[in-house]
Amino acid sequence: MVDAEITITNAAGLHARPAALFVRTAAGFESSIRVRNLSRDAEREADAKSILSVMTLGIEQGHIISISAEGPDETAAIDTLRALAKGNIDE
Amino acid sequence: MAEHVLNGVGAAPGFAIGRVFRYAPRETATESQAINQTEIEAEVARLRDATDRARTRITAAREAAAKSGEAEAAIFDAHLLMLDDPAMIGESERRIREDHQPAAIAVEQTAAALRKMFDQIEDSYLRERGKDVTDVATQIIRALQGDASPSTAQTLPPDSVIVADELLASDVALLDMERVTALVTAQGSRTAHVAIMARAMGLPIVVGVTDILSRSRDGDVVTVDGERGEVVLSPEPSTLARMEERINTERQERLRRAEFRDLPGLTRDGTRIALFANIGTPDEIEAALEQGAEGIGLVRTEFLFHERSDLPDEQEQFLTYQAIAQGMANRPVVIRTLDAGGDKPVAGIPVATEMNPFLGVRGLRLSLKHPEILRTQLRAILRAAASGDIHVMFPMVTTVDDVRAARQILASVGAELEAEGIEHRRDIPVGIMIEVPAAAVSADRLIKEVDFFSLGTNDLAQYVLAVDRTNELLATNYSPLDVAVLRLIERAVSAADAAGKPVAVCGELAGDLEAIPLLVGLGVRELSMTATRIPQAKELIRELRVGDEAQAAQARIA
Repeated sequence: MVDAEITITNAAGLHARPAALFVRTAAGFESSIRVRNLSRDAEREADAKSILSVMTLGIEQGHIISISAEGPDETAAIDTLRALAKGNIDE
Repeated sequence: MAEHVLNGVGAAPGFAIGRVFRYAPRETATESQAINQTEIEAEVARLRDATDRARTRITAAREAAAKSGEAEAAIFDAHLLMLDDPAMIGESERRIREDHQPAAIAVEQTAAALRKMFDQIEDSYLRERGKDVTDVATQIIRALQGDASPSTAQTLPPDSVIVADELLASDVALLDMERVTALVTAQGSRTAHVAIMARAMGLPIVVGVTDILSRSRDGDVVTVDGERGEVVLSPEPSTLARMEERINTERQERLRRAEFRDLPGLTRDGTRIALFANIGTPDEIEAALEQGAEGIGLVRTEFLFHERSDLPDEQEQFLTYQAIAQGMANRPVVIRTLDAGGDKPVAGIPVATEMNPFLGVRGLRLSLKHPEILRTQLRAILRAAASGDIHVMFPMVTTVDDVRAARQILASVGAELEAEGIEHRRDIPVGIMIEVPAAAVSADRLIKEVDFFSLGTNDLAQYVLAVDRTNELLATNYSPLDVAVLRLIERAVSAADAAGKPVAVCGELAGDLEAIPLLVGLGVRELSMTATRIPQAKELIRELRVGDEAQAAQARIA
């Protein structure tokens, strides 16, 4: 399993549009990918391939999220999602 | 049968006469009879089939909505993503398999659980998206129950007034518009997707008419007033005649508006007078564009602070300003910072009781006493400026020091955003309202500090004349066209002219047909008014000659 912690700098947090991009990107990997919002409720895990789950994490600017992937392309998945989340997602 | 008047909330303007067509009253799935082990596979298959049908329906709705605009279509793009989401469809399937719930119950409870999670989100924009979850779940449940197929909507009798408990955005998109004259719902609000769709399609809609389903039957004659939110069942002949007249007047008015909308505000001798709209909420953008506004000359930001006890945060303000800027495409939008005070209080900022609130802590004075509130607002404005032609304007400025204090905060939040690497634009035009007599008198000094003036004639007149404009006993003493007021306007305009900077009027005078020739004569080239006044103002301006009006104005203030 590979994981990463990322601070969301995107001004709009993970609102509908950026969340959709994040989810579509995650869906392109075979690995199972989970996301948690450490700044809000570190216990609750969301499926990174589900827009509804990701949106209900209520990720806003300044929040720290954790992404973990498990599967054949786990390293590539984490690298890609980290680059996406660190850049200004869809802005 | 006597006529029966029902009241709701007018959510899209317009008038209509038609016959009631009761549309797909949705049965809520309440029976939670568990299914047998042997029925599970069949129930899952039903769910998948219903999801497919819902997808077809939403896709069709998307295509129909795209005719109104991309923003309407985007509503359905989000719905399609949600429909195929594991948290929606996967969880519903799990409830069938593990909890032995019937498909409709499984979908309903899945949606309810998601709604609960959305409701807990602090961010109001995200929280609002919970409604889309309900919309999508309802589509699946309808498909499961086999009612309200698109074909029902296509076999409407002509002149139908669609009556429903609740209409989804997708329902409206799929209606045969040739046959629908109005919409009436028992539930819903002005901001519901259905209201947005109706406005885009030019259909009147009245929402929140609680009794409509129990009071009406298919085929009843009904009149709908989308402005006042009034629905009349079985109207008397006199009511019908009145409504017919309104429909005719409206049609003529629309033709007239269309004729003037795309013409420039040009005087007979070729001087360009820009016509802008004042708005109090983002909803008014549509009307502003429809009336031919070339920009927004005044966004009153107070609406963000009303009907709540907390303060709007930066994100909420940013999204609102951004929506306005984007709604106006690349046209200029002048955002005025919070203009509150003892005479127009907002709950989030308590103000001490004042003997003379009009002379008290109001406008920029209040903002400077709460710099953190001003900083938040200015950050949101600079961020939104990255996506449109946004100008910022400070109200109730008295002295040069006021402007410098405000500009210092503006510069400081700009530097802050830069340091944080947040997208924004800092070099936006900065202006002030000229509404305090001292500011008009010292206009030549103030103009050196700013990029533009906007004259707030209502307050300027009441301060110059020392007449409280809310005091009914002095109603006849309040005359905004008094020579003293006009002289101050002239003074401010000359100062701006000398500096080569623009000056607008955004007070009530800007839309006053008696005042417009005088203002143009005094050198005002930008008028910002309530959107509905723009066509008349434009018609008048196209009859004026600036030379004649300048002479008349000079004679008037001599």
